[in-house]
Amino acid sequence: MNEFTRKTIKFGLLLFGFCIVGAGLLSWVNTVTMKQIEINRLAEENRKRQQVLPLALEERFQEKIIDGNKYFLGYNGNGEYVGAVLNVESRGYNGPINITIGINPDGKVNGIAISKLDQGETPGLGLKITTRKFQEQFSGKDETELRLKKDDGKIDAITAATISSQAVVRAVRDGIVSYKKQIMEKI
Amino acid sequence: MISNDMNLFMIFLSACIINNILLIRFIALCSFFGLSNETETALGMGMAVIFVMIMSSSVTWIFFHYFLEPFNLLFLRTTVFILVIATLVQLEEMYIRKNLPVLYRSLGIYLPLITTNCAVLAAAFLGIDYKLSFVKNVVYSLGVSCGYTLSIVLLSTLRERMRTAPIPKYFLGYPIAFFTASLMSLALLGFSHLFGL
Amino acid sequence: MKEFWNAFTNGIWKENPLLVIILGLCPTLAVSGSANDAFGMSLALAFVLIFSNIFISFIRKWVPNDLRIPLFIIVISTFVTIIDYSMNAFQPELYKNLGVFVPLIVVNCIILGRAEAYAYKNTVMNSLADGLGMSIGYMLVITFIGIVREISGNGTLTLLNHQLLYLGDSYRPALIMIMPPGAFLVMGSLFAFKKWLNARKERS
Repeated sequence: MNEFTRKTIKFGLLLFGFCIVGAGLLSWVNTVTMKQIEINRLAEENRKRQQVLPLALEERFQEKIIDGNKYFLGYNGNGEYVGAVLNVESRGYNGPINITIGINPDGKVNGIAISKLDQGETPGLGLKITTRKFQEQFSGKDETELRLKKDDGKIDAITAATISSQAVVRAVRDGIVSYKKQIMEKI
Repeated sequence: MISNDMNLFMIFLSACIINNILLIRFIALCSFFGLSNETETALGMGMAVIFVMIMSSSVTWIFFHYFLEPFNLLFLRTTVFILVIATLVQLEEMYIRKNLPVLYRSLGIYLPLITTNCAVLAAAFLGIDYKLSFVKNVVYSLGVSCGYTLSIVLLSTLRERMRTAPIPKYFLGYPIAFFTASLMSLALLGFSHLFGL
Repeated sequence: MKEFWNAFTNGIWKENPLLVIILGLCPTLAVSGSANDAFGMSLALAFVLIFSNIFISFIRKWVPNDLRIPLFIIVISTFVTIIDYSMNAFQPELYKNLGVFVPLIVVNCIILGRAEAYAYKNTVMNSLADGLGMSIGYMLVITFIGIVREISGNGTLTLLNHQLLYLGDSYRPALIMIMPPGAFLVMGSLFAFKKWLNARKERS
């Protein structure tokens, strides 16, 4: 065996060893963190459902998918129907926005939730859709009122972020309309 | 924001101008300020980046979709990508030196620099994050690298002009280059949301 | 001990990675729109820098010279992936804001630069000091930029996920400061300030 082959084998083994150790470590980190990420995701979804429909009990939610819309029908301790939670997606300024809408049995909005993880809007502008002040305006509105004030509705747009506000308002309105068609008329 | 349902021209435009990798996304700034003293250098670097970026993002795309994803090895993404890019740059340098001496004379010195150029790795990551198809990924990396070349060449011409300008003493060099970049970035912001991108 | 102290203070001011060596600009400008993100980024970088420095100086005697760069890259990218996944699991909001800049730490010139220039030639303790010093130097500068940009551009100040300051609704923030041009402006002014400081020191 000459010098060159020895060197090649040594280098190959060293590189291979490093790769194996690194990959092993990473696969362990991967399993641990994936579990945590899944736990976080479920906890976050629970929290948002509680926020938009506080009357419903978490363990009594019934999942129902109609034409691609995912509803969670909520019941209180006595088994009475108190409303539904609907997740919708809208296209904002910088990408998709995920909105959780809580709907009263009469088809009015109970509350909406958008966390910072649900969107990618511009800091200082569109990011304000995640503030309580913007989201509280939606409570108690029906589909005729769910428009920006400049379109004769009752929602104040965020200054200099009309596209983000419009995206949220439109998605919530569409959500309410499909709820009336898909759930309300059948109960 | 770029997605797979956009057409090729829109992807190119968005990658090149609206989401310009240097001035809007702030990637690969070391070379942006380090190599923009002279137009010739800037142009050489830009060409080398176009060449390498298209090759490497195609290869990493194939690696990701036919090797990492089917075997569930996503956590090795960073390691595999950087090793693939480093190896590829080495191979390209060897090939060009042997077979294309003319090109080597103009691009050769820039190729080693590209290994640590974050733009190449970033384009590979982003193309995967946006879930682009193979052809769109190639067009995307072409757009990113053209945007890179465009801004670095523009900055270098501005800096050449500024040599004769009366600049305050403490602003010579890096500070004034940053202020120039700031104005260029402001100009590019004017394109944001063009065609709803 | 003196050497340890020298290596530590070196990175904070005399060879500050951002102001003097001018490395690792990309994340500095991109995530410094909010002080919280800027601080988080510097913590992620500190983790990778300190551990890669320690590890590389620990194995330096067994690493053949010709093979050092690929091995460094494997070591660094392993640490980067660890912090990438951990942030995703334990700080999801911060992870979302930092985006592609977390995996891009792997090509951050500070880390490979310190591995090559310092850790490969020095003892474990000194490399630890160097990593700590460089990280603190980086942290101070990037957090300062973040504070300036967030206060002027958004009217708030958030650090460690706590809101420390809110200038109120009557304050009209200069939005340009949290947009890309503002990053270049603040960084350029900082460089000019450093030049002025150096010149004043030489004169006296």
